[in-house]
Amino acid sequence: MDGYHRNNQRRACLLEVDSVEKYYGSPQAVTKALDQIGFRVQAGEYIAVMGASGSGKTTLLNCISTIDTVSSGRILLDGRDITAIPAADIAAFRREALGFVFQEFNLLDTLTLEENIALPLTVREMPTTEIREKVHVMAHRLGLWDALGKFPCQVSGGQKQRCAFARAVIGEPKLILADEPTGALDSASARVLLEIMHRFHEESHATILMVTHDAFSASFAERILFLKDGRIFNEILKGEKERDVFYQEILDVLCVLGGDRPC
Amino acid sequence: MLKQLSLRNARRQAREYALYFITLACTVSFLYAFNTLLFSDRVKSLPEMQVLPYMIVAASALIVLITGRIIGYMAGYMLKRRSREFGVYMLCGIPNRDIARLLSRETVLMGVLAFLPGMVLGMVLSQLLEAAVLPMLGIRYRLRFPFSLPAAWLTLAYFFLMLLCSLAKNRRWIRRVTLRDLLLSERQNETVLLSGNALTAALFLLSLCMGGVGFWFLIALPIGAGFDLLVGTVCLVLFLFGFFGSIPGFLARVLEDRDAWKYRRHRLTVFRGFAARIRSASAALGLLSALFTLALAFYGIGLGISSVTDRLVDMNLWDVQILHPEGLRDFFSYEEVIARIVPLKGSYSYAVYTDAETVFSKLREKTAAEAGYSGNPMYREFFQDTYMKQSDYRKLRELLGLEEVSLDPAVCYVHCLPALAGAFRDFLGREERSYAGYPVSGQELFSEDFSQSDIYGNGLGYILVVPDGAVAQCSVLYSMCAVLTESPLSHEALDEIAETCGLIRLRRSTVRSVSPGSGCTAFVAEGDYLSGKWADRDSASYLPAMSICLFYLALVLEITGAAILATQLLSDRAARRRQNDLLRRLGMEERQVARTGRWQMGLFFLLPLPPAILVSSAYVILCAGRLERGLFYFPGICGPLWLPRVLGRTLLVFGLLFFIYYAAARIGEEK
Repeated sequence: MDGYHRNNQRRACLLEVDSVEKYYGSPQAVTKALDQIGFRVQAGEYIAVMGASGSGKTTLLNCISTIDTVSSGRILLDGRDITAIPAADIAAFRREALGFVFQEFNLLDTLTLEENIALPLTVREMPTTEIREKVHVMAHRLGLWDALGKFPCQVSGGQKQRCAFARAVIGEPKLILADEPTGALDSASARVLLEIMHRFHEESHATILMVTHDAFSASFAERILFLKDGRIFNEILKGEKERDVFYQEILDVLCVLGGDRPC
Repeated sequence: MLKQLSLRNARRQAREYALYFITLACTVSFLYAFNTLLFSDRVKSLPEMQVLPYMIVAASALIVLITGRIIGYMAGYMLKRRSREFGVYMLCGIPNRDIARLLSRETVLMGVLAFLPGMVLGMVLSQLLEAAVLPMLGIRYRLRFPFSLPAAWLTLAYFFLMLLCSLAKNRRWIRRVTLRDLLLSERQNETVLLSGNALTAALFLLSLCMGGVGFWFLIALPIGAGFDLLVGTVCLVLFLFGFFGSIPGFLARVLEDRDAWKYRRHRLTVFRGFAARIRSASAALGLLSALFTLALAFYGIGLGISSVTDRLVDMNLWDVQILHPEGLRDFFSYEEVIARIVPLKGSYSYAVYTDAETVFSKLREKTAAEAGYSGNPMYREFFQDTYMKQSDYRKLRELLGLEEVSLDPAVCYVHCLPALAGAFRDFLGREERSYAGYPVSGQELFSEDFSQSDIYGNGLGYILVVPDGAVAQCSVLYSMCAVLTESPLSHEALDEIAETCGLIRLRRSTVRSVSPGSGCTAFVAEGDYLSGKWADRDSASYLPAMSICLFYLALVLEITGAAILATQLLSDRAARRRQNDLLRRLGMEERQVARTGRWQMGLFFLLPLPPAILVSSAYVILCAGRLERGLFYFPGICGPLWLPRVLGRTLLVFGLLFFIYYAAARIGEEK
């Protein structure tokens, strides 16, 4: 039994996606975006979801983040079926349980980086002193201390995405959802961000679900799900492997996924 | 292909900037409606209204000038938002010249889209306007087909000029702009800094002080000779510029310094978003505030004029008043003529007397002067005290429906304006006065409305009601036939009375000098004079004409300003939706997200108003106050709170229209 599986045995299941289907369109022209998807994510796990455009990655992320609804199936987060949360409780659920990192950062241009990081805490109406303390600790941790007073238009893309990551994790959510977080970054900034995310995951045992089509970004995860045409096509584990070995393995799967090699 | 593109773009823009087009259509309708007054035969028939066409043309020219500039600004704003689209055209190889042509076609198409419904609306509005204005001028309103070809041509010419103004500037921009500028225009906007510093905070406070000082100069007039107006205006202009230039920085400074304040109650997004929005539009907000200032000032002055005019007419209690200078006359033949033209409620002929005494007239002038009024400017008839017989007084009270009073036949009484009552009572309490051996009562003094606020009524400001025998030693100042009619008199009816009886219309502003230093008189020729409530309204009709033009200007300025405000706000809808989506993902309650949006919108919409209200109220108080002092010789004629009432009504009228635009913007936002 390898280290990962030993570790998994110790960890409880945080997210369970159970036979989820998602249809779009009218009765005359139905598009099946997710087809009987099912997987589990353990608490403290770092998982990546890969696949080509149109494979259903973002739909899956939207369903998990309650932005979209499922056509059938269940999604359980910490034992609670999030597909059945009443509309009135959705906001509180997102506030308490989820953190988001977007490809285009989604920072508010009118707020400083400090204020952007503090935003989820102000939404929770946390006391000011606590907000300030948490923001400063997080800024130190993510190397944003010098840029706290600046506006998004005054900092680099890397700093913006670190700020977006800080905003996603500052409320200590149960699950961090990242949608192509390195998609708008240059390679150096992408590496810095991925290392920060990895370190944060290691230190805080945060559960991260990252959607990406970049093999390098995915190689930082512990497990990767490959989607094709709305179904899980393959799943690979990093285990005790070095990251560059894992990276090669990902590329191999992608070749198969693209149809170059038989599965 | 470009023609089709122009058509499609015009259609899309009309949908996107619907409020703006509605405003253009409304501007056309106002222009047309007021232009019909220029060509209206009924208005032309009034000799007193000769000034109205000139006023309307001047107001229209001002509107074309201001609205043309604003349309240019707005069209430029819409163009810059389409920079990327024009960049793509250029990338596809369309030369700047052709893009400019495309733009011209779009502008013309959009103009047509606004002009046609505007004309239809204008025809309806012209009838409403006539229905409101003609009775004000004593002309009976009759419904008729509302199309006037000359008015339509003139409106088209004005509208064409307005579009030409906007087109010229924007065509020049599009012909000179480079591809790089167009494609990078959005990025250029991102460099706007949103921080505040101590200087902006100081500038903001300084601008507020300037506003206060300017306001004080216009209200208190401490220097005199027109310098107050100059200094006050300079201060208020500096206030407007300073306020909008510094408030974003001031707000940012407040937010940066006060974590405890900004992190509570979801203020962070509201105020940061608001500060950023006004930072990028501070010049436009300054312009809008100036527009609203003008609109509010015009409404206020217009309402002030209207209020003063109404009071001026109402103070004359007689529907018809015929005056015979210096001597008694039998007015029976006149009464017969009037009765043939309009049913009479009652009439009475009497005389106003005078002698060499000036005690009370001096007291009147002193009291009025202390309140900043003239008392009696120049009319020689009122240099001396005026008297009335007790028997006449009783009859007149009865005719006017005033409370019956018991008069001691051995005592003189004073009937005066309420503004003079205190001074007269004090004087009579201090000094015992008598006339022809009859004491003047210090206890009993009457001050109901009694046609005393203007010349050639029952005395000017006051009259001494004396025992009938006491007038034996007086001379007749003028005799008068006072008539109350069953219905209001039209301009035509007054003309008929004057013509049949051979009466001269009494015009108080047309005077004849008697001899150097002896004052003057409004009795300019030999004959009897026609006056009274309706004749006064007729001869003061230049005042309603002024207020009509002021309303016209104010309406157009307000709707133009409000439309720009709403369009600017709605054009940022996409950014606000992104913000709201993010807030929802961060777990903000839907109700709170909506509240945040409403706050941001409300603050942005209301921001130009406080400075505009402050500045305009200074001008309204100044101008309406001056007008009241110019028309009335005594204080308090319009009531103690007439200026606050005028200001309140101004805000109400302005607020109603403004709220319609705010509601339209809210609906557009939520669509």
